[in-house]
Amino acid sequence: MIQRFFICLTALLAAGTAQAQTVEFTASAPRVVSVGEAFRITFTLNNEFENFTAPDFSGFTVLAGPSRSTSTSVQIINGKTSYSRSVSMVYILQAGQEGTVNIGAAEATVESKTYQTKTVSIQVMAAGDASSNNNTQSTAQEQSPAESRQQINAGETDVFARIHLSKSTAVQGEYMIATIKLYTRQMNIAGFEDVKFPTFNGFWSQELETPQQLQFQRENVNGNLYYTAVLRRYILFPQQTGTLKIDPFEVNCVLQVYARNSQPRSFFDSFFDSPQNIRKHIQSPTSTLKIDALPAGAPASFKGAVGKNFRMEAAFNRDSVIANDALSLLVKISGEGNIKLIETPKVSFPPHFETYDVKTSDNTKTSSSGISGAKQFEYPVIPRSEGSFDITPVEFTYFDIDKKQYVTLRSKNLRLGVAKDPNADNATGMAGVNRQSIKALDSDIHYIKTKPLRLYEKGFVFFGTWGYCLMYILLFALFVIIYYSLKSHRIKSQDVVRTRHRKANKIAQQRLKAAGQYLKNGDRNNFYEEVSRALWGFLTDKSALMPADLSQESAREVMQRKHAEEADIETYLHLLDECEFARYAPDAGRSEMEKVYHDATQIISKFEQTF
Amino acid sequence: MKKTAILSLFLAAATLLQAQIVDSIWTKANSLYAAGDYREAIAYYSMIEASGEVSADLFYNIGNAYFKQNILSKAILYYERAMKLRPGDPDIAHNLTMANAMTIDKIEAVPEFFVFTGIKNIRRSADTDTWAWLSILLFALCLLLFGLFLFARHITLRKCAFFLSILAVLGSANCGVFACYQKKELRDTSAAIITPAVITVKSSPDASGKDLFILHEGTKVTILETLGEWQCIRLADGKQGWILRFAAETI
Repeated sequence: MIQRFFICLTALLAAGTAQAQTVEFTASAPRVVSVGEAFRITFTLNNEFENFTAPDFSGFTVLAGPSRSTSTSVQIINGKTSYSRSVSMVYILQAGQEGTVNIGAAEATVESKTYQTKTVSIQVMAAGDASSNNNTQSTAQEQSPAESRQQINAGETDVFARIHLSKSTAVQGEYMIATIKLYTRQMNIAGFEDVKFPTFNGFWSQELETPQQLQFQRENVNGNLYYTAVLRRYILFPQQTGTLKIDPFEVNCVLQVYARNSQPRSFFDSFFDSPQNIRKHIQSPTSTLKIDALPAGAPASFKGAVGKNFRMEAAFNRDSVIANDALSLLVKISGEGNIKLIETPKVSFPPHFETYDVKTSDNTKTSSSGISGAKQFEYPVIPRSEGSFDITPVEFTYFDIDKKQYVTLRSKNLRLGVAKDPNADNATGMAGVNRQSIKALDSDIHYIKTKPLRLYEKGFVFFGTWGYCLMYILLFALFVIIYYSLKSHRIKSQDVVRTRHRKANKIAQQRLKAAGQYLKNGDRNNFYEEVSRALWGFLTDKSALMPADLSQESAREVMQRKHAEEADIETYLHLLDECEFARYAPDAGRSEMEKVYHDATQIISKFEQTF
Repeated sequence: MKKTAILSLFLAAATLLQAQIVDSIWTKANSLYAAGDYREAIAYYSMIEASGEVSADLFYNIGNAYFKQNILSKAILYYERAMKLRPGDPDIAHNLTMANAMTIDKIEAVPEFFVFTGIKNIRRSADTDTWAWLSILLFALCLLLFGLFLFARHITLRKCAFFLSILAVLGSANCGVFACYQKKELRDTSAAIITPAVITVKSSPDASGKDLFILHEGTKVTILETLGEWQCIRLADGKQGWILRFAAETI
């Protein structure tokens, strides 16, 4: 009533100027009505019309109408004035029988053009189930007095809530919409207390926009007419797999009910009857969801992105820089899905690029058809040395919900030219060459051996075997054999000569000594013999010749070979001659013997040093 | 189909054991490893292993294949086996160090006198037979030098030969001792690697025994004794306890 009054008021106040604008012609009616219930159907046109043809209301009885109402509004925003005007045609109808009835299109002509509304489908339910105020009152009056004093109609407290999920099964990361809906038989809810919304454990959730005020709609629930209102809507992204439970939604509803005395009441009572607030705790049933894991074999670059129509762009904000200058790599991923949950893609910069923390920003739009938009990653880097660098293309993998497979996006090759820093030399030149140790990028096990395989008997060790011992024995035996063979050979050949050579002086001295003895005794024969033997023996010992081989000539040769002086050789040979001679010649006297002895001793001692 | 093929090859390797077959399996396994199919590579390596003969290279490659599959306990087990056969190999030592660094249990070994550690390190730089041959070589050198001492004419040469021959004989004996220790270590089957991901060590050979501590896969232990299904183990830091027999695989 009040509503209508305001419409009239605005219609009276506003100036009736129709604006040339897009024509909207709509029909609105409740979706569910009960038999015998009076309801309103409104056709609204946002322009003045010339001709209106109502549709056929067969199946309904037209109780009133058409009544026409006009509303005009003027808006001045920033000095810009806009008018809007709408004309409504209202009919009051009553449903005749159960079933679904379609109301055809209404037609209206605006500036000689015909517009039509959409067909409206109305579900008509049996009268008993409907809950109009009239009905409940009549049933209440029929209650027997024996019932408790304060009776509350069942319909008045029939309130419940449900959480509707857009999908009952989904894969990890696939979005779904959860709608918390309130159902009531009568729109007698005065308010809510202790509202407890579900926490959605195991999901990443975001609330979708819902109207501030409850907007009730009629709905048929198991053959009963209910008023329903959407309390909240959430967009959910399951983060875990398995069967996930969604906590119930709980609320205390404050309901306005009229307590009725079973005592007879006066007629006026109902006028002054004030409603009573009662609280009712309602809880939605717990709902479960089956979340399937994503198929195995995800590429390494998959980090949980699920959705569709993803696109990726990667580019440096500058194409070429000088060394030690900062620049950024911008990677932008756009698409529909869990955009907000996308992790930073891994970008491998050359090792001497200094990298800093990645900045992320997103620009997304949340709607009942999921989240769409873009997320941008900014990788700030500073190249520290000049050159031309190819950066491995950035990879991003997502699970395509429609195709049910992993899709890998790869950016184009990123090439960056870094010019030499003109100030670099001044900066580092002072401290000399900046030497760097080899940077270990990563460590890995060494590669397998690929040489041809040589197998050994298990547990076989050469050490300690008979073969091993035999090696020692053989070596020792070899040594002994070599030792003895060497020794005998030495005795046989080399040693005789050597010993004679070594002992030549000694023997010569001994012989001369003996000769000296004979000289003292005056034994002339023996004296010359000893001197002669000493002289001959000395030469043979020194020259390794046999005494038989010696003659005057060979003796001279021996001495010449030993580089003796010519005079000494002559003396030596003369002494030999004299000894030989004296043995068979008459006695020449003691002085002669002494001279020979003296000369022999002298020459031998002289040769001892040189030979 | 693949399994039967493997089995038949397996039997072939076990019975025929012809160098050619072993070579072809070896090449095949190596190429599988190179292609990244570590599981198959292990299957082929195992065929060679099943022949009963051993090789440090074989164990090293098996260890690598297990390492690439993140089966740490097996990787360490095979690296240790390879190490036992060829202690001086730097590749084996490197990979074993890397694998050990990834084990969960960090056990501080009981400190040892540094000279002993040094000697042990020198001894472990070569395998038994290398020491054995070195010992023989030094013995031969000793005899040669002694011969020189006996027959040389110059006194300084003789002196040098004599001292060097004494040094050589000492070196030979030392190598012999090293070989002896290495052999003992090679034949020693008390060292084992923990294979389950985690195992509780009990105070007695009994399931109801007190839980002493927890060991993770890849830890090296020494088996002190075996009693039925249980065996007594000691860690490098001296801790002792009982575990089930299957939990530790002998190197």
